[in-house]
Amino acid sequence: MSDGALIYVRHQDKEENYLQAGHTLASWLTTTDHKRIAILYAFAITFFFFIGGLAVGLIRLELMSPGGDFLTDDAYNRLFTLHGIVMVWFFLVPSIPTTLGNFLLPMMIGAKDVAFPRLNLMSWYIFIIGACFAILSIFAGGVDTGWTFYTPFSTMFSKGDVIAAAAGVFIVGFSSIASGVNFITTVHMLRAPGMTWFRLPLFVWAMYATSIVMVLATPVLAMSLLLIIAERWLGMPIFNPANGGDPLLFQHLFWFYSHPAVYIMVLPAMGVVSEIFACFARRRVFGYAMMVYAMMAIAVIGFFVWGHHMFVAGQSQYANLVFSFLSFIVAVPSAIKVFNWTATLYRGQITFEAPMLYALGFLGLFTVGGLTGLFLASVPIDVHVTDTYFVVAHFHYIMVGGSVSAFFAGLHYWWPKITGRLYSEAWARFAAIVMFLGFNTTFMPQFIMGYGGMPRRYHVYPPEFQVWHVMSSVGALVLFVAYTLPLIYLTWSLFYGRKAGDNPWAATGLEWQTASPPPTHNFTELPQVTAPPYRYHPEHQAPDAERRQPETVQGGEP
Amino acid sequence: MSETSPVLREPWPSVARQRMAVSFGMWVFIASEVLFFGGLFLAYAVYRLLDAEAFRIAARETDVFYGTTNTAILLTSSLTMAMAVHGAERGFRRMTIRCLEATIVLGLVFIVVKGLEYHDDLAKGLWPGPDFALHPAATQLFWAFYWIATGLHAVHLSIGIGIVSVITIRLARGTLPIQATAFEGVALYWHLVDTIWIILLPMLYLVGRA
Amino acid sequence: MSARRNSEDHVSALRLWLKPSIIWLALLLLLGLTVGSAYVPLGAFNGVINYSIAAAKAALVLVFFMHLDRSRALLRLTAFTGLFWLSFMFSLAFGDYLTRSWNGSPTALHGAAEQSAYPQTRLPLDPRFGRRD
Repeated sequence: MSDGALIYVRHQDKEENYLQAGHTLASWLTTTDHKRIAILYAFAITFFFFIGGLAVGLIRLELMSPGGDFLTDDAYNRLFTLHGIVMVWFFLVPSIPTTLGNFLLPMMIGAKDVAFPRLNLMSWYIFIIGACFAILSIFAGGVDTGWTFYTPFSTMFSKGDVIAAAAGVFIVGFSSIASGVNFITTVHMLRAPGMTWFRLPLFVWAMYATSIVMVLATPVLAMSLLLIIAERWLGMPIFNPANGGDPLLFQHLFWFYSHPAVYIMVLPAMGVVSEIFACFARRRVFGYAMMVYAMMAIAVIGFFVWGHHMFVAGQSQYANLVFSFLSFIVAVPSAIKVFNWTATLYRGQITFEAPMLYALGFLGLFTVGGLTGLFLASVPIDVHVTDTYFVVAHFHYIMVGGSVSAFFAGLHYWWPKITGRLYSEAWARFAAIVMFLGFNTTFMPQFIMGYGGMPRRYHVYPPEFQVWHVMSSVGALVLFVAYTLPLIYLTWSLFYGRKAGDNPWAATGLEWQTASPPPTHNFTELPQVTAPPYRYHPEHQAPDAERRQPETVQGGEP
Repeated sequence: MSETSPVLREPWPSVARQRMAVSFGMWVFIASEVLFFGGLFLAYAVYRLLDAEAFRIAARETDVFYGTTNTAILLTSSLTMAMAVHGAERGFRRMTIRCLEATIVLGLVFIVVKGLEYHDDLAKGLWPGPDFALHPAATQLFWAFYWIATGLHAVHLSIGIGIVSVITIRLARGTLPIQATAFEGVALYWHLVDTIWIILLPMLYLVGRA
Repeated sequence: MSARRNSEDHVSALRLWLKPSIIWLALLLLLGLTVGSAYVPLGAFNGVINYSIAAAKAALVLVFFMHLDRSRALLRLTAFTGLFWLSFMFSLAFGDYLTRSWNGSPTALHGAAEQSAYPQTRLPLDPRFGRRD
């Protein structure tokens, strides 16, 4: 609970919250309030999440049997491309930063809004325009290049509407860059008095590190896509070997972005779970400074490892060695974070609300994904398992088991703050457990069959893999249920949920010191910060078990 | 604590802070532009390494006169843009407007000269494709780079001309105060466009001349 | 009163032009130097000179026109960041291209274009692949 650490003037109950300030569609579509923009983004990414999910539903249905049953080769290619493009660029990359990040970043630092509110709105419109191009390419029949757009297939031979798809991704890239510029400037320039850098919540640091990666990596993606468009549309030979072009150059440019992109997808997740572990174990985060340095190290070193996606593509062996070594190095800060989260939990007063369940799921699943990444960083192993389901399982453990779990964790944790309503804790815990079980059922078999040689992007496969594919598809069905349940009970809570108080979790952090939902300008008085974050107990002491409060669920109401 | 000023915008507590943020934000954006063009420059550098002779043959066909003239035009436009900012800082409204107008004119002259150059290049058969004028085939890589780099630069310049025109008109009409924080940010963007061209000059016009 | 103000403004406006104009002249001078030296046969040094001069011109614009000379450290650091990150891209990518020939790895060699089985540009290339987008 907040004590004298934060000097804060209580809000007036009569002040309207941000949801009440304007009820027309126009008030939403012309808003510059970061909280409303976060909700606009939430609608967009939820829509695309289900589009990407639909694609994979069809894929997993097809994969239940070894032959090419109801999808042609071409249709299958287009579906996995759709799944990849939509899930990466239209769901995961924006997910936590544009929804939770937009909503919470200014509040967590004690600001009234982000640095450039109109640019924030423009970011959303740019996203929507890019989304329109993507939808256009879907209606044109889709693209069969894989989400990686490798040349010269994408530039010279693919029959799909590559230009529309590439243009869509190109445009949403600028939405990313604009958000990144906004967040970086916000953190540098709008911190409340007393909010020094090392008093920032780890979620803010995570947003900052993510934004740096977004600003510096995304432009290179933009260029690589522009070059594809130029070659395909204007006939400019850039990657065509007949003109001395090198297809591998495309891969260098593409992966220079796409590897840091996975850190764009995971760093915000790390920020979310840091907040949640501290709150639900009633503990300060172990090794706060190292957590900060680790996130910044991940953001920087993540730029040095892209070649590990090209070990068998024709890169020089010496480059392979260097990239392999650097890929091992980049795992170190992630491991430090896993150890620190675990140490945060140690001797904590742990309770298992839904956000904590999702966060604990993240901890285990991210660790599995991260460790399998080390296998892939080793060139001799990668030579055998690259382009197999082993890689597919690896990145899904991190991106779905990791980032999506953390997204749901954050969604549930901050739901009372964003909407002013409490969700049903019983249904939420159930959904979290179903998700964990469904996830492992889906993706653990993929490690096994990948190791056994099942290639990725194939829908016709030898019968010995069928048992694993069936398990995986059943798991996918369970996952579908687990993802749909929150849609139902969260929507239900908007209308019938109990009203949440300012701070149902008794959490520290400036966002919990204002009303739920917050007023339009976040705070009625400018907060002053005099102490570090996570003051769940005095420094150098564990929480006192003798004086522990009985477990209170969401503010103590039965 | 919070001042009222025609320049101050939400959520800034002071104009000084807002001014600093506009510059800082623009520099962060400039970093992204450096990476954007940098990717293109990597492609150029890699292909130059792989086939230097073809690059030399191809690069001789660019027109040094156009390139040098355009560089001089842009450098001058940077001068006038910098002076516009200095004028704005001191509240010299008329001087600022004149300098902004000069910047716009110089930018437009650049576009016109570029257009003339493009016309000549096309007439010489330098658009990559089956009718390309040069041999060996790798010379098309240089020219693909030329069209893409100069085209992208022209797009950036056009956007710059558009933005500068908007702020000039608003300043002239009085809807934008002379103390507005926008001038420094726009100027930084303009100088970025100039700097990109400064780097493009040796890449496109000065290879294989000797 | 206002006439004197105007003439004072006029004088200080002119003085404002002095330093930037000197920078501008330096830039034009460097332009002349780089174009002129390009015609002197110096082999690989032509490139070194030209890019050094380009860097010098860029530095002049960055420091004097973009006000890095009077900016706080944060802005200077930010200004440097793009280039610094680009160095990662160039060094590691060239780490691949420069070492490709060391162990007989396949590489895009000079003249490979002529030996390539790929058709040259422009779609559609092969009627079997049907229409372009």
